[in-house]
Amino acid sequence: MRPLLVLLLAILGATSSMAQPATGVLEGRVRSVSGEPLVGANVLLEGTFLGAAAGADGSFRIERIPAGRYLVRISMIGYETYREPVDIRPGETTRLEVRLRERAYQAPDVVVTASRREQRLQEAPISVSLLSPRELEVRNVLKLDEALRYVPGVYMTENQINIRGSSGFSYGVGSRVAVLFDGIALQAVDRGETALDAFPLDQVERIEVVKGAGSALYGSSALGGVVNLITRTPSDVPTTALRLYVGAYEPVRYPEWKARWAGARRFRFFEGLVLSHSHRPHPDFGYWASLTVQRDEGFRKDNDELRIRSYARLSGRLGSQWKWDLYGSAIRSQARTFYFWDNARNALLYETDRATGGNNHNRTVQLSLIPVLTWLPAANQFHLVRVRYYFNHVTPLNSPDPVRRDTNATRLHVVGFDEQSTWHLHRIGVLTAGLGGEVGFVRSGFYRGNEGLRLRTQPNLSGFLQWELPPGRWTLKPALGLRLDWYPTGEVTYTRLSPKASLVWNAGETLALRASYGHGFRVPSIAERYVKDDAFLPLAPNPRLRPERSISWELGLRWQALGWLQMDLAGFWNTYRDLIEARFQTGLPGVRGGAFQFQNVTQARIRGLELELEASPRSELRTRLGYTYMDPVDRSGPVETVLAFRSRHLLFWNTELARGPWRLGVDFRYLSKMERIETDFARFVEDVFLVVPIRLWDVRLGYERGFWAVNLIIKNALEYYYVERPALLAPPRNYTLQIRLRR
Amino acid sequence: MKHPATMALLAGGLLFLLVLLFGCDHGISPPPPPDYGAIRGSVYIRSPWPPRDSVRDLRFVAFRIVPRDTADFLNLNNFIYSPSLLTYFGADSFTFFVDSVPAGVYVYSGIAHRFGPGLLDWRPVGLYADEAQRPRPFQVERGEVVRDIRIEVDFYQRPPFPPR
Repeated sequence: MRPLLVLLLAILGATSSMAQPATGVLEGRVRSVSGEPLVGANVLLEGTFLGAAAGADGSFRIERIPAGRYLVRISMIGYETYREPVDIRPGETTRLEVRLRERAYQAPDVVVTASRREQRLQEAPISVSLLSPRELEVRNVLKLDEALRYVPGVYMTENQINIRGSSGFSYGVGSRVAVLFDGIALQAVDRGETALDAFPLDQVERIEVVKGAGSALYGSSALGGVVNLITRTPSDVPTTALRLYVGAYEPVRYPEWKARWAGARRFRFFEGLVLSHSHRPHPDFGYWASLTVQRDEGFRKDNDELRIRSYARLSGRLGSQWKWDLYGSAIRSQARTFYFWDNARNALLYETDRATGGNNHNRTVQLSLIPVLTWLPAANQFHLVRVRYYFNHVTPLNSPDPVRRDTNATRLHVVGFDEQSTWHLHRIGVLTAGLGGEVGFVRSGFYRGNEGLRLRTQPNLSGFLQWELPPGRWTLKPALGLRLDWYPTGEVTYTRLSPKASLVWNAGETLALRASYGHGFRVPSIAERYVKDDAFLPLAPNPRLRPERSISWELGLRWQALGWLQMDLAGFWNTYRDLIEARFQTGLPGVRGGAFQFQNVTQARIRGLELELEASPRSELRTRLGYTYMDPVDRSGPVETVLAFRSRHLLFWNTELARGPWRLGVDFRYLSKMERIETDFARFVEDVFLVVPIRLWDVRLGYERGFWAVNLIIKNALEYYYVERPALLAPPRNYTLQIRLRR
Repeated sequence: MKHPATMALLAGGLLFLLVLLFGCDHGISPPPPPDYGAIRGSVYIRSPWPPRDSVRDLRFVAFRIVPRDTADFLNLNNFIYSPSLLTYFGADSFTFFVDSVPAGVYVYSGIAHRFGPGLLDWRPVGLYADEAQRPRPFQVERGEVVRDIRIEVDFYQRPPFPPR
């Protein structure tokens, strides 16, 4: 292995040294005003791929820089961005000592998801919320769904992401939000879902949440919005981080819930570790690798999991114009899933006698490999090619019979590519265009449809074009975009044309007004079209399902004031058509007695207002407040009703207080009670109408010193029992003790 | 920031108020237990029994609602059922007893025949009905046994389902 690495480094070194005979070095250190090293701060020479990330002591080093004058940009979330010209002379080392000033708000200067290119947050044409790695770390967040619960305007219905009420609850099939990993979609085409527990959150630089339909840039699933995880670049100085945690769910307070299961009468434990290493051993080559091991006993009966997740990213430069990345992951998990409670008197148990009872036991193996090549031929051009391979194998372990396990196993292969080019053209503007394609193969006994086929495919091709007026030159910035998606899927060919338009007015440095319009769609998944089963719950296929569609309108305002306050106010109006729901049907051909079937049934409108405030009146105090009001209306029938599984009010409040090495954090989340539960769901699960408003307090106390930190986290501190979706009790009060080491 | 202490005090006060407001409410709690009674009944077979392999199960079932279709068989909250009556296969008449029946009104009841392997392969073969063959409701009281349930079963002239 080592000779191979040496050879690779030698080739990379030789290539770059041949291309750049007269080079210099830029090195230095990035610290806060108070002198703390800023680990992970990004250092970049603008217009090139030459850059570095600060290591554990804040130092960085960029070698083999062609001599010349550059604009160096040093940025980190929560700090003012540093931008200064530097001169690099042949054979010399230029040294920079930079102290970044803390900023009142966490948001970074640039985001990439709103327009598929880097742009200042103030220029984003649509609402974007951000989560920093620190916010994930101090809350011991290991899964994306846990992370998104702390984003204003976003809530989870169990494992389905709702951006401004986009999703509701659709039985775990078909995400109405596109989830991307460094801009790459890793969706399982069989269920139309992305595994939210499959990402290395310890290597995330930030999470961007774009609210509103985004299919004009991202295609299917961006019906309600887009979530993009942006990962870190490898650190110049070898940096190893270890996070160990152990925690416990407190026994529930009600004797009725403990009466029939002894497991509910004791603390139930979860523990794990996250180990990562990041290094750039050569100026042109770097990597990070991450290993996560999690075990959770669960607080419901037969609802445990063991998960091992490994991720790696290799990054390299070929001169100053070419850059390559290779992402790889391997994940193995074994989990018993709890679907529905027996009833509200036995909320931690499922009914074993009932055919529709709520438990499943699966082993899942996921692999992914994603090579990316980026070319920057000139300061005004950017080209990117990505290829992705994704494999998912789910083996049901409920049956002791190995033949039956194999018959019911699901094996999925997805191969895809996408290309994107961006040109900054004088007088014309910024043009971004791209092509993409994907084909998924799934073999499963569940998706045999009426024809009895065990192998299904779902190919697609797409192309998009976006025009924006060049940033910086004008205070009024219009943008137009259009995307064509084509899914030739056998019985039906889906063709969708998704336009978008936006206008941003930067009235000075601190105030931006925006207006946007966009279309969204979601192509039905293989599961929704072809699922056929009668052993568990009678399910009938519906191969002629139509895509779900949405249209989003938004008017917004972003304002930075007083040097310590940032505000984002948005009014939105979203319409949804042909939303797919599972309905019980009788009289289906070839189905005795009736069966559940996915159908295009729901037409809806959700309009509302959202306010997001972030303030830091003192350097040791940060607070963030988000409030969303929604008016979710179901327009499917002759009379308008409240849309099922939606809350009307969402409130999120977070405060962080630092005093010397001590850190105190409080989160409060409030979701008003769902006003309507879908009635077919209520026909086969008991006590589904038992829902309450969600009022949750999380509290944490931390002590940070040098390379180590200890954190005590109490989630659901006031012991509040609630459901995020009917018939599934959410976690009771639980305690986590976390130790973090970084060297 | 001119008045940080005032701001901190205000924030602390707001936090205290919110905790006070919501701290005593623990959200969902188990509903009170239902009261229970029991049902005793008699079944009279008025037709020949079908072949043994086509009678996969036979049970007395009583619904709190009039079922709309077989999907209502999936919600145990809507109905109660007896132990299997297959042990009486071939008999002209037999009795059944169901205990721990939640108190309340049961509006549609009878003998259900499972004729196939599917989850929903059930159909009624005899109803607890009035003289006009309309489903007859009955009430289960707490601590009492309903004794006068009498059902006639004809495997070949079945009551309509879903009920008209």
